[in-house]
Amino acid sequence: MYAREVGGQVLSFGVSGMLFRDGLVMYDRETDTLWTQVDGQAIKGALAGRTLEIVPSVHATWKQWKQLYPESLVLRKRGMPRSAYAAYNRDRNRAGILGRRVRDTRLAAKERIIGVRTAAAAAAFLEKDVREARVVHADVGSMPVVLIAAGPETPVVTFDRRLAGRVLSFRLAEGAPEVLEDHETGSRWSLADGRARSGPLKGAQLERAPAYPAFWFGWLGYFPGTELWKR
Amino acid sequence: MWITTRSAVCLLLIPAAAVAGLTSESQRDRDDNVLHVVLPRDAIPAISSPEFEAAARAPLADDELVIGIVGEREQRAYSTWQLDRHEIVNDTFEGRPVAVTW
Repeated sequence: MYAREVGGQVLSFGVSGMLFRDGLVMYDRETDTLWTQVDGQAIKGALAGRTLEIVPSVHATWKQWKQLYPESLVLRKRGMPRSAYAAYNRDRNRAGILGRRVRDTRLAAKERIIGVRTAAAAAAFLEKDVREARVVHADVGSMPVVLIAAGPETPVVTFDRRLAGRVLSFRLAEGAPEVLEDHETGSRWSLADGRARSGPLKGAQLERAPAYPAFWFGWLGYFPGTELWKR
Repeated sequence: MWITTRSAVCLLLIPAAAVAGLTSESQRDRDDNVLHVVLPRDAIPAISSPEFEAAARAPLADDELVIGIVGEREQRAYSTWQLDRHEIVNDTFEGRPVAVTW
């Protein structure tokens, strides 16, 4: 998810019909610039060289989402389509139409990862490992992050661990689903919105870190120097 | 899903013969920095006037993947199964223009 404002101008995006490194290329209707969807770069046109600002998002199954956000709004559905790509997503031998060679053999091409990136760094976390570990502390470049998988019915959420000049670390609160506790102050945080509900830091707000689910090969196409977190 | 989806669209719409030329290694290396036109512009229609409904009434399947945004007062979810057919939603969330992309 990106902010649509670039240099004071609000843009509206359409689907260009082009692919770059197996990824969607968007165009904006205001300047006709081409933008890569994966990393938000303007690659051709009047705004070439600019970068879209990331708006951190949550990725979850519907069941997981509505448990955390029962009062939310949902984009109205027309009809009841299933995913058009269920078969493709399951097929381990189909890794993109362009057939780019994946030189990196750290993981199988279609392993599902959670990619976290900053302006200068990218790191991949094998989703099944994160779910097994439940709480993962890591540094992505200079950004200390925490990935949390509270349970099978909650999405993996990712927060920046910096708060007003200090770096926090977390554990899941005992007996309280969807609540985190930081080691430094013992404050308790809501997993749903990253806000401290009690303790010395009550009222403070954690920022989300930009994190996306992806296939390993797709992430590598745009971030070939990515780090891979190991348990 | 960006990478997987665009790739799958090609697989569905382009005859095998059309991609046979992309199989040599040197061609693949060059392709890393090439824009491939696979569909006409707007063949996949982005959504620019999104409409919403309450989560309690939304007809989504439990295993349906969504992209969500969580703000100060509001939360919104977008079904990726629906995004498969649109790829982009131009929306405004808590006053901020955002693009939901898939």
